[in-house]
Amino acid sequence: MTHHKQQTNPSATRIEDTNALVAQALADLAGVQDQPSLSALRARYLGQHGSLSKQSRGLRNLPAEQKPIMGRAVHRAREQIERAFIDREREIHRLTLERRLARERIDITLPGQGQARANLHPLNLVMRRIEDFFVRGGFTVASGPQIEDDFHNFSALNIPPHHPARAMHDTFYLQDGRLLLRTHTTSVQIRTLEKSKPPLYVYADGPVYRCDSDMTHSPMFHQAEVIAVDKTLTFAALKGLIEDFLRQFFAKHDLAIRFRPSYFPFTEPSAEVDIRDKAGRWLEVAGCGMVHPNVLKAVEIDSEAWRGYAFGFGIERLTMLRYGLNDLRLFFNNDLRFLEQFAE
Amino acid sequence: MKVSLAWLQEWAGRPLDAAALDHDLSMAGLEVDSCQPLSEQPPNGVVSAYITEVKAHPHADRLRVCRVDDGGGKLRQVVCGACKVHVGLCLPYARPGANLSGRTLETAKILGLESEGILCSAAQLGLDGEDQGLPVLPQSLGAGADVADYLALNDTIMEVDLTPNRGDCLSLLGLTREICALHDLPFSPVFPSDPSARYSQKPGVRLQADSACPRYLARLVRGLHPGLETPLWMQERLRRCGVACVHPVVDVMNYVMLEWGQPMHAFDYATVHGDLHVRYAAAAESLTLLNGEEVKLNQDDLLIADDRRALALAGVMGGADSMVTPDTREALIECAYFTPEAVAGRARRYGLHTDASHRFERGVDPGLQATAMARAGELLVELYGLELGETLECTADHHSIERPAIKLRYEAIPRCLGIQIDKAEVPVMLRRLQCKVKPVADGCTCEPPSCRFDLNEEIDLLEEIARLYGYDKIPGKSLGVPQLGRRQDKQTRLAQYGDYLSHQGYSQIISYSFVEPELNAMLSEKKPPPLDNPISPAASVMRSSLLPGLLQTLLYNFNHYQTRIRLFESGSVFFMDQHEQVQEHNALAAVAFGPRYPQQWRKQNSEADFFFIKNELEQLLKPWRRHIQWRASDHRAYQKGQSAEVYYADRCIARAGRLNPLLEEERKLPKGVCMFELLSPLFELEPEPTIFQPLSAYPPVRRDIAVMVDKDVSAEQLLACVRAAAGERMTRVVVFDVFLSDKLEQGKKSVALGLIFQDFCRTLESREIDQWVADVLSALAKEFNAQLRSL
Repeated sequence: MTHHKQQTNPSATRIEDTNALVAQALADLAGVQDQPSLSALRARYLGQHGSLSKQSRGLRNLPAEQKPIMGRAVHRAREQIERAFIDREREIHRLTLERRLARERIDITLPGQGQARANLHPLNLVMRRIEDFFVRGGFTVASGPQIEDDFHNFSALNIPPHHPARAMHDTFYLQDGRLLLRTHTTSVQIRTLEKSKPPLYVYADGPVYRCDSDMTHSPMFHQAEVIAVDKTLTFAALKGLIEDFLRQFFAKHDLAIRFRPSYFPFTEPSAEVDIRDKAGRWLEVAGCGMVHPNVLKAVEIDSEAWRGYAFGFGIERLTMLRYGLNDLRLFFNNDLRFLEQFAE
Repeated sequence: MKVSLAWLQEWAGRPLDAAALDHDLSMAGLEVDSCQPLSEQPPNGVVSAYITEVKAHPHADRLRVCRVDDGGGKLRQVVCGACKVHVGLCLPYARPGANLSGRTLETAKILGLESEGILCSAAQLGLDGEDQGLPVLPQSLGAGADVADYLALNDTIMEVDLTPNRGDCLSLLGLTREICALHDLPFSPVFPSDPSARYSQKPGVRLQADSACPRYLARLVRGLHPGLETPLWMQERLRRCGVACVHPVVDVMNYVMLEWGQPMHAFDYATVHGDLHVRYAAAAESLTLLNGEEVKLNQDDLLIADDRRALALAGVMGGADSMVTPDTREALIECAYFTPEAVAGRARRYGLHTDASHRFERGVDPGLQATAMARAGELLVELYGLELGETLECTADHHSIERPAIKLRYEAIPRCLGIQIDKAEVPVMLRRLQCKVKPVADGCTCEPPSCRFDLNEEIDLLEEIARLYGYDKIPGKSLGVPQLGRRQDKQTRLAQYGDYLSHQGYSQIISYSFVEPELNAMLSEKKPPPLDNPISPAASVMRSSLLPGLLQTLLYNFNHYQTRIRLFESGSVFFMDQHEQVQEHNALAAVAFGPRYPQQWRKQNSEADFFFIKNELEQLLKPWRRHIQWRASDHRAYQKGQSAEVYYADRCIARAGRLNPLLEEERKLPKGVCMFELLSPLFELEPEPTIFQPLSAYPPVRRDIAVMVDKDVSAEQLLACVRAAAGERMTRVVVFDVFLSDKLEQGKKSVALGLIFQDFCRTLESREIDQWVADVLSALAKEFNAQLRSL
């Protein structure tokens, strides 16, 4: 193609002007910091009477062969500027938001607001933990009255009147000795055996009472009790159950446990269960045994066909071991500074 | 039971290692409570020495200068402080070089005179902590004998905590028998030889209650005089086993009891009139016991009496006026078998607990009396040179020491214990326990020794087998329970309430079930069951409400500087019903004091009040919300006008409100305590089942109105009127403001209500809603003379 000098219309669009316009627009945009200035600038470049429109109109004054070339150039320029406006607008929005967020910044180290939760009593936490274990193990939860009669607390448990074992239970009496406060949860065993037919697997816990009060004895304390009556229960099964329970309770799979022969009128063979603490001492945590045939007879269960095992333990002792407590009285003072520690 | 290990070794005929014995006995069910050496550092190099000369110390009145013969061939000079020292005494003497309490003795100068060692007091030897006197050794010991050996100072004191079924182990004999059984050793105690009578006199004895006392041996002994003295070794053994020395003859009785387990008693025969009678107490009879206490006897108390009066409470304690004293010249020795039933409970009845009652209650070997009597006679003659009369033996015709044979089926062993034991091994094990065993088809029969009161049926033998086999050898078998575990609904619900309340900020407490009757009466209209034997007057009735414990705990914490307190307790309450029967119910109660929220920055934090506590209760009772009624309460525990009872189908299921201000004043409780109680009928209620309500797809429209009404018109009345008038399109109405002000007309209040309308099939139109609101306003105007206020 040959280029020859040509007389051009001064109002016709020139490529140099278009390029300069784009450069100017980009430079102007970079300086814009807020939405109103952006809108004003948009009108100046892209508005009906804006610079680009002027350029488009100037296309008319071009020679016919230059029109398509310059037309495309102006179109590209418009696209370029429009995109720059969109980008800048997004950027301004981001900056505006950032400024707002900076203004709205708070001290997140200030404490939260609202109600503060409290806790269940540690003895109750422990009873629940134990109950959960046994319910999962197939035991049903039972309960019995705390004001008991002699039959359920003593006689039916193979402890006749004047039995020396009664001397070990300092009993609270009511109504001239007609009633008493249960001295152990073992009374629930009898209540359960009276009501239900074997096979049965029962767990019970709650307060028990002995009229003895000093540093290491509280007149009210808590026990839990497990009894099962079925055809195939053995001492070995009882031993396994208690071992499983204690290892789970203390979350220590290698907890050292020993069974020492002992005596309870209502079980035979009977054993005390000891666990070994960190210092290597044996601590008594439970008593257990095979339910004495006389106990089954007292509630009219055939002691030949059915065998039972039972075990009981002091909740306070287990709770003290679990939480490292050393003073029984803490449980019943109910000092909030004590209670509030047991968020579990 | 306390026992000297040195003595026990003598019985066992072999050395016993304290630590091993501690373990073995404990693991066999004879729990060893403590195992302590007699002294941490037993003396070494202390010998017996005779005093050959005593002179006053030239520079000190209270000191003596002695020469002693310690068998070393040379007399030694010793300075001592005991004024009772005299020539001829045999005393423990620590030479220079001897070791006392870890200190080596040297020759010392005491006020200018040399002392080659010292004479040792009981305390220095580690005998009796306080005794500063010099223990006198028997002449027969000779000079130069090792005192530590003679007095077994290298001893260990073991305290065995025997369970009540093992009365047979309350003696050296019994413990030895047990140790032999555990270790499979031959058991061969040395039986005493009965010394012959030196005079023929016998007391007369009449068994008038021969089922309670089927065997009674009595023997006279004479020649007692005030100069008799219990030998040092016996005093020591008694002391180490926890028995006090009383009188030389009584000490022998106690010694035999420790050896054989047979309690014995000695009467001053001069005080006995005529025959001895073993009989039950007569009506209104009384007896002064040797501890000086006079007891009014019951007719089931077994007595030893003479022709005139009661002498002793059989098997428990002797009487004061028949006891032996230093002046006694002739004593009557009693050695009897009282059945456990005849003694059980009698000691406790009179606040007593004696070595004798402890043994008889648990069962003394009924075949042991002659042996014990012989042993006592032997000692009385040997030690004191007393003269014995003839032994009188009274035995009931029915008396037998044979115990019925028990059948043991071998198959019961794996069935009960879960272990397999070789059939040939079982009789061997039982014989170790001194049982007579005969094989029968599929098992054996076993006749236990007469001392084993605890072996009566098969299960008892199974336990013995488990014990001898070793509990620790029984393998634990894992849980295999063939059913699902369940909780009771009531317990589950209480647990849920506990969770809710603790998450709302209420700490759970556990307080004593026995409370102060006055406080209980201020808080509960129910009659609490009183205890016969309370630990204190302030804990003498069983609570009929949980509030006493809660308020006392609140006060305790308030006094410990707590300014915001939330507590709840769930537990049993007790009361006497109209038939005077004791009832026991589940209950839950909570108390709240102080601001609604813990102190926090920026928050408006008003004090907990009635509406605060009401909300807690409303949330708990939500499952029954549709049929609950709140009624004003005038219960004694609460402030009248700021308390309410909650009814469900005419049953009062809960109460809430402010504490009665009178109680706050009287008990110095902080002002503004709020509380609620869940009552037992609630725990019987089934939760109302949820019935699904369809959800409308059309928008709800809310209109707010404010009306001025009389102060006395209740919100409940207003809302009922609104609900009745608004028609079924009104789905909800809320009270969003109540305004009381001087600016309002006298006796009036303004209540702002939000009415929410919604339809299931269409969008409601403005004019129909206007109409319903107008209906509501006119109903309110008609019923309560309510005037619309512009909002």
